[in-house]
Amino acid sequence: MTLLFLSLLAFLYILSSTKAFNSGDAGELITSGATLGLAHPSGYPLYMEVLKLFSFLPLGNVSFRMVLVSVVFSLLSLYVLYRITLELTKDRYVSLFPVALLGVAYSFWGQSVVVKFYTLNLFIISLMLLFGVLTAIRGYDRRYQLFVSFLLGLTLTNHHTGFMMVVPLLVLSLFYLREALKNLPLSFLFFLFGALANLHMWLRGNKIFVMVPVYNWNSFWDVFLRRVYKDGSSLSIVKNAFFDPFGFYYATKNILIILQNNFPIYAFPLFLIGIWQAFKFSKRIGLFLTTFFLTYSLILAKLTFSSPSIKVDSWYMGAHQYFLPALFGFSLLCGLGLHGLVKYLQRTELLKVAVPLSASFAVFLAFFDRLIDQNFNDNYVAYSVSKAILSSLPVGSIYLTYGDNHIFSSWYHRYIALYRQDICSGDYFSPDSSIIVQRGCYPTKLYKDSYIFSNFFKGNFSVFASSGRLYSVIYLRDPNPLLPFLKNHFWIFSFALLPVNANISEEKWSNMLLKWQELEKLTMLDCSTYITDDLFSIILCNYSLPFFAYLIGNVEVEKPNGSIYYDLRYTGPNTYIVYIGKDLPKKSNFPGESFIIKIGVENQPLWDLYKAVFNNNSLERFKYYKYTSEYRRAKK
Amino acid sequence: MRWLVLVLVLSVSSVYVLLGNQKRLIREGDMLLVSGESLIAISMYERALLNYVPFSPYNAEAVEKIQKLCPKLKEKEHKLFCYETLRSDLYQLRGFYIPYGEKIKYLEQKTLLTKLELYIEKNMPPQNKYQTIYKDLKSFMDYDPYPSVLWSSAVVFSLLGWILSLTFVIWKGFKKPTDKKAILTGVVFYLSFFTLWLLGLYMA
Repeated sequence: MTLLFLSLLAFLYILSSTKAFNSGDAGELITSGATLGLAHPSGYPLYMEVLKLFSFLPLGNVSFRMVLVSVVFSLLSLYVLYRITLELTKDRYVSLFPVALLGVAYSFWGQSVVVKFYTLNLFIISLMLLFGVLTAIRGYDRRYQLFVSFLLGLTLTNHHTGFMMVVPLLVLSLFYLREALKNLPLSFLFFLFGALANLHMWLRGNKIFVMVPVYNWNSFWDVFLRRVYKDGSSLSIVKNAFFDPFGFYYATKNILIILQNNFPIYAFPLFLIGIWQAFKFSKRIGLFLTTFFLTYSLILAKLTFSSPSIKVDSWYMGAHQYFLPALFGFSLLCGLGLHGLVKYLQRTELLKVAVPLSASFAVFLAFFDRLIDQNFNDNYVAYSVSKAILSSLPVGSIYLTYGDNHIFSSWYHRYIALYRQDICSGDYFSPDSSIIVQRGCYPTKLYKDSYIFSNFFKGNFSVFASSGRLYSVIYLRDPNPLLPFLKNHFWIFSFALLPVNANISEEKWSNMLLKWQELEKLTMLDCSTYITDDLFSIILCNYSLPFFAYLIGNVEVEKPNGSIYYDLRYTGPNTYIVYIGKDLPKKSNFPGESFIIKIGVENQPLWDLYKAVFNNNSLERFKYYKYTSEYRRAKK
Repeated sequence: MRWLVLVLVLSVSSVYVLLGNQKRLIREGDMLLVSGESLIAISMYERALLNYVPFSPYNAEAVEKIQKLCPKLKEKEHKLFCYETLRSDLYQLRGFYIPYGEKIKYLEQKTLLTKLELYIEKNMPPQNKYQTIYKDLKSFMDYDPYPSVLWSSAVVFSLLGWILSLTFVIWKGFKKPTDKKAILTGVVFYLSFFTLWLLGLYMA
């Protein structure tokens, strides 16, 4: 029965998994994994090597092979969940229930079908939980302690939240203090063996292209402790745990929202019965499991997710990713709760089978929802947007990217797909900054010493731009130091930065732009048809819309049916207001552009496509939108 | 045995889903081609190829269709898009080997020359710089950060090796009473795999 259940989930996960890289970090993770490099801090060396291992599979492209890592470790975690429940309840029908509950949970499914390290992290955590439970049931065995210590070491080579398992494990070890202390030196040794996988960072951290290189002790600690993120570094986050006790209120509130959005309402009473049931098994099991749940829900939320006002992208990155272990613990306790109920059905053997099986089946029906909101099979948005930009740029261009969605996708195309290597992409931190980081021009020397890019690297931006080879995803605006020399001109999902004195005729510009009409249309078709509830796809598509509107305006129309004013005002990095109407827009103090779109039969289908993209990418489709600060602001 | 069944399910599901995608995408590409949208059609064939399944007839069909379309495109920019798309698709399929790898040389030559022509057309550099520009473009294209297949496979398999060796040491060696022979055997394996792992990381 378990095998059947897991097989069914395996099929569904494969069906809904991403077939080209997904939005967010995927482009970077695939690039780092395939080149055996390092991902963003903390580097994730273990995950990099597992990705590399799967990249040798002869199925699909490199992105699909790497998403199989998530699928496989999801299934393994579900199997461990089944084992833990079975060890505790000795009831194989009841043990299916938490597997069904977790397997179709919104965030668990979501993380199982994209390239991300959270399911590997969950698998390691779940193994430690299993051995903790085995200790509580079967009694102390030093092998369990040594193995768990080894796994704890390994958590420091993947996502560091795995190390938080030390809290429930310490609680459990209080019951076996003498034996645990006796084996502590040996445990420490195995812990070090596990953590030694971080040597990957030393050996690969400066050998090939990596996001933040490791070349000495200091840079190693910068990456390992995520010091580059300043307030978001591992140490700062831990320090913050001891301040602002009121944060626990928001942490609890946010955790409840997350659970409510992942599980059906009837799971909550089962969860409460499950806690009671866990203590009924034994005090050790009760304490161990509740500490585990509290650590990965309340404490983790206090550390990372306890602000009174949380932005939409933090809801996506936090709520949808960090709390898989909490969802795991919740499902486990629900399973124990169901066991508690089923125990009362002692008189009828049939009901003891029928109740858990029908409960599991009922829960499992949520897979219909997941095949819509977490289906990445046909979501080519990230791939498409990035490729459309690169394809449209003239040979030997510089392209200034902004934000992970644009930066990481460009890395994937350049370093893995080896597409448009004649384009040098640079991170550009904000519209008011002239700092350009040439991470998309690796090896830098190759580009710096070339004839093609010599003017740019000598700092002659304006001279370089006069050849029409400087592009930026961000709209240059005051006080950007480049603004006096360059002006924005709409291009394919980016701006051509042209010298202020360069005059290109409207007709010539339109002709150049319309050459790429098809690719832009393809991207917009992708944006209008994908069904996934994926915030970063929404952001990418919305960000691309004004460029598409500009293109529509450039289509020659013989007999216009009417005209539309399109007014775009930049209110901050990556944020803008659009006015679309038949009357002239009101004057605004924000910088931006205005243009007229003449609508006729020639561009009516494109304008309809614009509206379809707009409708398909409403922020409101994001599950957590109603809890975000943006929603509250919009309501006001 | 149970795990083998699950591996089989994963493999069969992958083949089934990818083949289904390939078939659908090729059909979509064909329809777009009829309606004259060549670039979108190429992108559909590209996606069909990205859903690669070994021995699938759709792989060759997608490759052939893209390859036939490239010379027919009017704009040089579109030709560049076409040739380079096919080249990049093949690189995205690379594992121990690159499927249809024999086509890469031809595609690279086409891509390189088209880039050179386009650069010269748009920027009008002095004639004595043509060679330099060609060399620049070629050196950009020649750069490939993909690590050595031999050494990187040594890395990932030796990683598995040393993790399993340590697991063996723990489970077999530290049972009661301690099995010193198992510990010694495990440690020897661990050291061998760990050394190979370090060497692989350095060499790859």
